[in-house]
Amino acid sequence: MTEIFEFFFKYRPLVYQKGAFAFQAPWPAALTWVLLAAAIVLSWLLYRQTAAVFTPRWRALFLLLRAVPLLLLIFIFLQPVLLLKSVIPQKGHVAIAYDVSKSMEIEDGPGGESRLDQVRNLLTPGMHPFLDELGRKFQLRFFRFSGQAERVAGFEDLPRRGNITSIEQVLNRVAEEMSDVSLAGIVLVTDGADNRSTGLAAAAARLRAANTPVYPVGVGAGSLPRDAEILRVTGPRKVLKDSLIEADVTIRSRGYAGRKARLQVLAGSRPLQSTEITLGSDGEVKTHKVHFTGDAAGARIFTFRLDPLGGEVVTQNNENNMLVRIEDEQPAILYVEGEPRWVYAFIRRAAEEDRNLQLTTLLRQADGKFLRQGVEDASVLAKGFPLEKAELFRYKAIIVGSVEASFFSFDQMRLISDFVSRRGGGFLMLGGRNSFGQGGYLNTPLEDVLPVNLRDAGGTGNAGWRELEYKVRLGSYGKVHPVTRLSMDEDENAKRWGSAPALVGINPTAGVKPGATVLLEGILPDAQGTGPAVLAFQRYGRGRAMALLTGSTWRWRMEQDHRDNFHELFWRQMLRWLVNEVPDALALETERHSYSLEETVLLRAEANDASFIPLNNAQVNARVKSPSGQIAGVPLSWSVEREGIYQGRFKPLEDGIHEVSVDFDFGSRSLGTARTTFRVAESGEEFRDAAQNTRLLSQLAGDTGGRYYTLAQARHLPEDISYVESGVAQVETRDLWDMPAVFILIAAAVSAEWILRKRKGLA
Amino acid sequence: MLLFFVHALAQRRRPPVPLPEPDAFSGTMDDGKSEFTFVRSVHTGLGPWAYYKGWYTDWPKADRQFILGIQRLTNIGVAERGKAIPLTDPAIFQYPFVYAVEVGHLNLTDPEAAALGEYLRRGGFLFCDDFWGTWEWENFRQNIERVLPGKKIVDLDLTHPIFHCYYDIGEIIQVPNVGAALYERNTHEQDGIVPHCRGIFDDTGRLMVVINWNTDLGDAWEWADLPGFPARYSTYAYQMGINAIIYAMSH
Repeated sequence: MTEIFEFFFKYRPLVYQKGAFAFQAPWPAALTWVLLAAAIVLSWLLYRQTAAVFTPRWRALFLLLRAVPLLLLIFIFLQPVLLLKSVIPQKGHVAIAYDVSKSMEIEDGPGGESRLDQVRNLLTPGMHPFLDELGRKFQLRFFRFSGQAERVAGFEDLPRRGNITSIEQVLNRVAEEMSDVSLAGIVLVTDGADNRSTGLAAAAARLRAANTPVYPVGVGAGSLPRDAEILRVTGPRKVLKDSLIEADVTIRSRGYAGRKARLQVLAGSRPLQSTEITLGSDGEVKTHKVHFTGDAAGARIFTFRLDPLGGEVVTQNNENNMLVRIEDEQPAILYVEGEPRWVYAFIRRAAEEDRNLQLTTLLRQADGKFLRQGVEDASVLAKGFPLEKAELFRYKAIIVGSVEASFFSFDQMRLISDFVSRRGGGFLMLGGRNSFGQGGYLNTPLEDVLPVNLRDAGGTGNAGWRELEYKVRLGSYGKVHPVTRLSMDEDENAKRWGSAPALVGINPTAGVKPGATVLLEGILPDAQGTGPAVLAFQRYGRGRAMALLTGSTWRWRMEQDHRDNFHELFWRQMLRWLVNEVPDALALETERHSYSLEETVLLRAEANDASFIPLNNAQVNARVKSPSGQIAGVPLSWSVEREGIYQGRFKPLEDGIHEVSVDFDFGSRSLGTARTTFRVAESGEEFRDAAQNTRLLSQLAGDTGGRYYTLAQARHLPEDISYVESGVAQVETRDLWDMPAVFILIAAAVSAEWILRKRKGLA
Repeated sequence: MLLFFVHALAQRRRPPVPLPEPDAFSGTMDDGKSEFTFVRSVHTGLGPWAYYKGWYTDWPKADRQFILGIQRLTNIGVAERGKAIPLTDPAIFQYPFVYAVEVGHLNLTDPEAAALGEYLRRGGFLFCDDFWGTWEWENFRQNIERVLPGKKIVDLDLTHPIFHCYYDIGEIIQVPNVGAALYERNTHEQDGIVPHCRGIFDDTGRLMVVINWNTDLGDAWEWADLPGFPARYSTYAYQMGINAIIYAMSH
């Protein structure tokens, strides 16, 4: 469109926007009016005698066609011009910032040219008029950037390209470095694949305030026609050894709608899991759940790889990583049961065979008579169910069996509620004659915690325990949830659940609460549509609460072959799910699990006492052990924003897995230590979401008063940027008399008149 | 030679004794949905003494009286009526605790041995009672060896949790049959002078078989209501039985 405008009107619209219209006629203005009047009168006189032949309308048309060329000739002789204020050559400065991040390696240019090659052509003197023209008008300063920006003499490539891109960083750096000179603008040559800026809008506002427009020159294709990429992988940062790890793999694809692709999980080079997925329609983002087991303790990197598909421009984004810390520890679980039940014994047996679980149980055998099992010493649970926060909060999960609500005091139930919501613990209530609504939990603090509604339509929740036999089926999320995933293969998993022995007895509820997830539902003979939930969970505050509305899962053990580990696997996965991701009183984490060398790692520690009351005046010191064995100390200071949170920054100097430990001291007392791990590596992050982000670049240009250019349009940039509205400038005059539109209009009017005269018999 | 002949005759496997029918004694069968049902094993015994020493010894009164004791003394949701289930009946897997009596006269068929072995490996618990002397022990040992090949039978130490998980039992008592108990005759039968409580553990250390040898707990359950029956015996029998159930339901 711009080109068409330029063809007819000699200059691009921007020149008209920037310039002021004027006539530079060689005669006085009065003469102009005389000439105009004469042209009109002359036209009238020429057609005066034809009045008898034509209707007045035709005569007016002929008159107009005769007058237009005359008027345009007068317009030409008036010497119309555009007056433009432009910078005085070499008086101002322009910063050219170009992107050397990894995404610039993508070869999506004409003839398979890489983005960086295109930038090289643009910014190498003598190769493109852009740089020469800009250099004539301004003094140029070059900046090279990826995650960080650095001043350079001109276009200089890097042997190791940046793993990240931060446009915010480069804009701030340029503004800071060029603050003492007259900066006409910043030319930003990039694909806009920014993956680190957090305050770009603020940076743009500052530049606008400083009257420094940004002129982005976009490099790279606006969309990759055929590409499948693993956008991200999310999963637990920490799991127990031998636990089933669930990862959400988010994949976006274009040009492969409905195609099958193989997604692999690898531990190093060892394949762990392979699954076939169906790619979504163009641009669709789909999340696939992948399960695998981390067997060896320590920091483990799991690689997720999508086999390359034919015709992909970028294959580097087919891979993504996840770092998981596999802990060989024994989180404590407290199980309180109100009566001897088989489920109690069978859960204990399943847990005992798992050396990464420590199950402490309290069984009421008769009124006032309790059996404690799995206690470390005689003092544990000596007074029954804990009365104090510090005693209860040392557990990471609580299981409440068939024990009526009146067994607990109101304060104890509040403790359990706080245990889930504030401490972030796991909670499970088992079905039975004395649990859920049947155990009187209506109107207690635990009613809110549970993922099922105890209150029926009548608001009473009085429905009795139902002692019937029924089978279960997986809910939609149950097919992939780590508790109910008993086989890596989805079909095999469904088959195992399909053949699971029947359960006996269920606690009727009024359905699951909004936001709760059903993993198992009962196939009851009298149920219509979907059956009642048998296993469901919900998040509650910082923690998670699960409801298993039966106490007969031991039948899955007794009624299946002794070699079938269905029951054991279910319960171990259940117990591990309850404790996985439950925070410790002293915790340490980093924002992400993987960094590049250009980045600074933010260490974030949380200090609580045994009752999970935040400690704000602890001394918190981190030690970062690099892969080469060097240890760096990092003091962490209290972040005023949140109670008990301490932060510190560390700049890594080498690639590899870094081990961090933090010592917490309170006065002269040592509170303990927390550990975490992060990885420093070249990442494929730059290749994800790597199409040119024209939206971001246009927005940036708009916000700063600049203009977005494609590479092809970049040749206009030197001219556009040279026009200013204020400041020290020179006035430039651009002739308009010779614009093609004028001559085309004259020719059109004369031709039209001639044709019409011919048809009317006047010629 | 005669002894050898008699012994060989005794070791011959016979089909389960057809009388009496279990259901005829248990009346309305329990619905199987109570938390705990007292189940008695129906198994093949030796002849020609099968009618005298079979799976049904002391049944059903012993079971009913013991069930009343469980109801009275514990929190267990126990079915009011017990059950007698053949070892080869798949229904036995719905009841993880089974009581077997007169196990000195076991003559398990191969399917029975295989079913009992599978039952125990899945997590079932076998409580054996009322057999006496060397000969019966040897017969029991041979049968249980077929059930759990290679598993060792060990004497349970009094510090074992089964003696303390509900009642604290400090002594293994020889409970005599009702006649001996009432008339204060010798408490032993045959050459079973010393009572033993032995056990078999699974690979994880769980006690899955408890063997009460040279003692008769079932008679004490059966005759506990008899005014003259010594409380010392019935108390021990109830305590040992309840401890076994609590142990099975908590370990």
